[in-house]
Amino acid sequence: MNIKQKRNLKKNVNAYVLLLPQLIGLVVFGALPIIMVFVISFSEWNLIGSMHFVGFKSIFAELKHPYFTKAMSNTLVFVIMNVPLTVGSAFIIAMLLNNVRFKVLFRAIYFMPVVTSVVASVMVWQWLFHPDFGPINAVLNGVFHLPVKILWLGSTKTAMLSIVIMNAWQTLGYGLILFLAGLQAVPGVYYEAATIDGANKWQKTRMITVPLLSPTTFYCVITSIIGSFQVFGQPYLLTQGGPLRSTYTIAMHIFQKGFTDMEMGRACAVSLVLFVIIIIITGIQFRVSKRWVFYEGE
Amino acid sequence: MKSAKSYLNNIAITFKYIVIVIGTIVMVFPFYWMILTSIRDASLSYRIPPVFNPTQFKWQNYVEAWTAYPYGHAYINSFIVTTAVVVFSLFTTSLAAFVFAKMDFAGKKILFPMILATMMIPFQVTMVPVYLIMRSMHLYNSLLALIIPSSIFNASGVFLLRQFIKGIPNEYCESAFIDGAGYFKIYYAIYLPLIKTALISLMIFIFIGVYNDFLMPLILIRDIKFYTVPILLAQMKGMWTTDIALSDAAAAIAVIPVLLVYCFAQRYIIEGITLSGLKA
Amino acid sequence: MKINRKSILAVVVTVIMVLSLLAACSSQSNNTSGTTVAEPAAKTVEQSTAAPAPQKKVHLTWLYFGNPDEQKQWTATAKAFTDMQDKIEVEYIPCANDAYTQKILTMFASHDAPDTFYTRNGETPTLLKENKLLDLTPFIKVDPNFNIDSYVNIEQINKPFMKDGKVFAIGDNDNPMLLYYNKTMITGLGFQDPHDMYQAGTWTWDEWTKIAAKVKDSSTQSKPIYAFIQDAWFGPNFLWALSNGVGSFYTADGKPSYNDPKVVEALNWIVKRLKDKTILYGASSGKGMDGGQLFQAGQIAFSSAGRWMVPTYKKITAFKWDIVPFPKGPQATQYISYTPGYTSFAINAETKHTEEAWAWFRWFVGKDGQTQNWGKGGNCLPTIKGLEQLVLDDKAYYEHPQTFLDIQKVAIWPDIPYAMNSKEGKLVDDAFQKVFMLQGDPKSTMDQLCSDITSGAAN
Repeated sequence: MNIKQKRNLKKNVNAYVLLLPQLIGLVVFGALPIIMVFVISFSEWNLIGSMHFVGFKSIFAELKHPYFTKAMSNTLVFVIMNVPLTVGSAFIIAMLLNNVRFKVLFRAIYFMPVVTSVVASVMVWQWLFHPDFGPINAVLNGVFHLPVKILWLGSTKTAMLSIVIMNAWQTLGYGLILFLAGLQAVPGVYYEAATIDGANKWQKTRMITVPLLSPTTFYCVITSIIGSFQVFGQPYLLTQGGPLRSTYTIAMHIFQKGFTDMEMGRACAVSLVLFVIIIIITGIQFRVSKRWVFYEGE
Repeated sequence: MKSAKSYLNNIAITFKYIVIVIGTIVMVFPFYWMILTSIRDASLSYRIPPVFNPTQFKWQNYVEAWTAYPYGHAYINSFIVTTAVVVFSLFTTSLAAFVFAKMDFAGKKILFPMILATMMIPFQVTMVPVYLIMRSMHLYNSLLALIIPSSIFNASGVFLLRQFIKGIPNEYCESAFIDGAGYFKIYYAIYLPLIKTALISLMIFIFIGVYNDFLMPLILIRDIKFYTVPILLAQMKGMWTTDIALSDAAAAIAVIPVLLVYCFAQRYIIEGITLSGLKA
Repeated sequence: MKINRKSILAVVVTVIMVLSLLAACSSQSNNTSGTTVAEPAAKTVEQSTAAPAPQKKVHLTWLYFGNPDEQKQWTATAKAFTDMQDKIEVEYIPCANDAYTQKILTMFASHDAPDTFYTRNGETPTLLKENKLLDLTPFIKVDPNFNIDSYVNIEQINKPFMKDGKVFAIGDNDNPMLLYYNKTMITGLGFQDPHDMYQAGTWTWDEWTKIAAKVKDSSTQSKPIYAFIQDAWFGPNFLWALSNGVGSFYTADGKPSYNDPKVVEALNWIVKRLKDKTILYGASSGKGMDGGQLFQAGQIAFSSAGRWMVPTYKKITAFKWDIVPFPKGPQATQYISYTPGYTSFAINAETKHTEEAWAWFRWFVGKDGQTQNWGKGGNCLPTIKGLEQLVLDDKAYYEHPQTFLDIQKVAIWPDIPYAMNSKEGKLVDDAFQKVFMLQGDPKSTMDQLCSDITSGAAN
């Protein structure tokens, strides 16, 4: 062993020693659970009895089960409503807030719900949504004179929308901060040049701001999609998946199978499906993004 | 011509402020409603149309909410878990971040993408196995079950700090290296002080994330004596169906610590998010 | 460059940590699931209590759910038993109502299950299937101090726990549901007291509808707006059908009969009430509201519950209230009630102290235990005969607690297929919800439900 090899070895040992805690974490709480999801999804197991390997039975049983398909389509509906609403409103508010007095104060207020626990928020929102005693319907009736009584969480048509509204309230501050930072990073010379060329505000927004913000938008969309696929707390606490399973999401289904029905095989089968979906979506996103995301200086 | 333009401009600006203020009201209103409901008698919350202004100050609700349930205990648990996770997690993530940013070693090309990949995988996917792992390690239903995973597994934290450390010139490392300092010494004597801001940002993220976490204690904690604040609150939601005032008082009590931290540390949160988002 | 001393220390510490974790893992999995056979040893217990007190009491654990107030009461029960003899010490393990099924099943899965516990619909099927409930028959046979015939309505309260002549648990409490009504409001509107109608046998759906319509009409901003909240769970789901003379939702040979004409008639009647808005379906106002809340606030005329609401309603001072069975439907011949769910007391088949567990069990389900538990502030009915006075003491708060005792004798407990198969139960709950949300016609929804159950769609 020559000196160089020896030195390399020492360096490697040193690196791994310093990495060790996170490495153990990566193995025990990152890789091992994924492997276990794969293995257990081929079994039937109620935790108390013994585990039986049944091949693809659990997975197929889940894939064609009405509760699974319902949970899956509900989650997709949530993603489709939630991502544009959250990212879009964060973008618009960021544009408005960009050159405004008391920007820091407004930004702080818009971010406040992000740091609030879902459990506490839910306790308020279930009353805000209350058809009779809730202020939302009262404002619609009293201020806007709309003679409607929306059932919000109580109707299969509006329950998921209500959860989306609450979720947008809770999470848009996060995207807002990213967009504001992105806007700050846009060099002023671009706007000056555009002004000389006679571009109006709308043209400047479309031709300069939007493309230059696309990396931020991309990041927001990805985190929002992945976050939306995990939605659990709001439906679990607000509606328990109801009414008529209209807010029953995939994460709730995993929880239900694993910790209420005690069917670990089926729970892991659903986890596996969610895992695959997230991998695929991230893959597609990265592919697509290469085509339209404008990276400055690349 | 010019005055017409500035007139239009003024309208646009006014409109802008109106939208911003309406948005602000929407953001703040749930907090207002929470406080309002918590300081009045429950019967006042059953009015049609609802009463929007405070007409009563029944602070007794807070005393009742605090005493009727082991809130003090839950706060201690939350405090222990959050403090432990913050301390351990900052230590382990910064170590790993240092290694990934400044050291070349065999396997780096495999390990770093692995860390990145696990960032994408939600706890919802792994909750069943993590529960099984905790059970087999006899950690299920203990505060350690909440502390250990977050302390040694925080991919996004490693990523965030690595971005910071990468931005620091290598010269520091090299000169120290020539002086014969070990890697650990280089890490804590040179890099740790330089990334103080990033560490504070991460610290606050971890604090908020762990303090508010609901799903992990939901599946890993069984006994009321190990309940953290959110899980206690969620349980109470079922218990006090009869008193909305008390449950909103309880919710307000749960929200206060995190809002306080937020007020004092707002700047760091925003810096942290900005950096993690823009460098991703 | 030399390897840093601190790094070496770090390695050593981490290795020790990992090793100890591995050791902890491997020590766990050697527990084979051999079921212990209970030795009939009740006599030994009797004898040994006379023997000099041992150094240390045998420690038994007991798991039961409850809200914070109830948890205090259970702690007192455990203490009462521990103090009255010197051989056994009982420790109460608290648990929230919602978390109970998960808690007990995970306790069994991790081999730290309590010696004694309650078993309900949620966990009973698994526990019976995995033989986790101790067969009590040997004790019952030889113990002269225990008489199974001294329980009210025993064939109903022990429905799922008696198979092949064996007994696995005893229902020590019963909670048949009926209607609480706001007497001040109803008599104030000029109606006869529902309890009087019940006594006269004229308390029917029609009378109920008349009251409901008037209550609805009289609603203003501060006054009530609904007559009744149909809470979204199986107890109230089934009650209207049962009050129309349905005895069971399954035929004698175990086939589902949710599409029985009497059931459909009851559902059609509720749908009418939902449409004219005298009844509000609880789930359609979102979570966080149930009939109990509004009844207490004086906003509705009727609330459906068992005796569990008495402690809460006792605090009502703004109006007078009383209880009455659900009104009779057109096809019914008698008043009926329904006890939603099983809460029966059982002994862990894996307990190391079967004799002591039985001694505690016998006390607990016997007169002394039931007096202790359901006496002051009781939230259910005792099941052992001779404790009627405990319920009648409620008279200080409402006029006719006797109604509870009358209805207890005829109360129906959940059907075995519904209670013992949670997946089938979910199908049933979903179908009822569909009807109450006005998204399915009662007849076709119930037909569909029966065919779904038969075809095993739930699995």
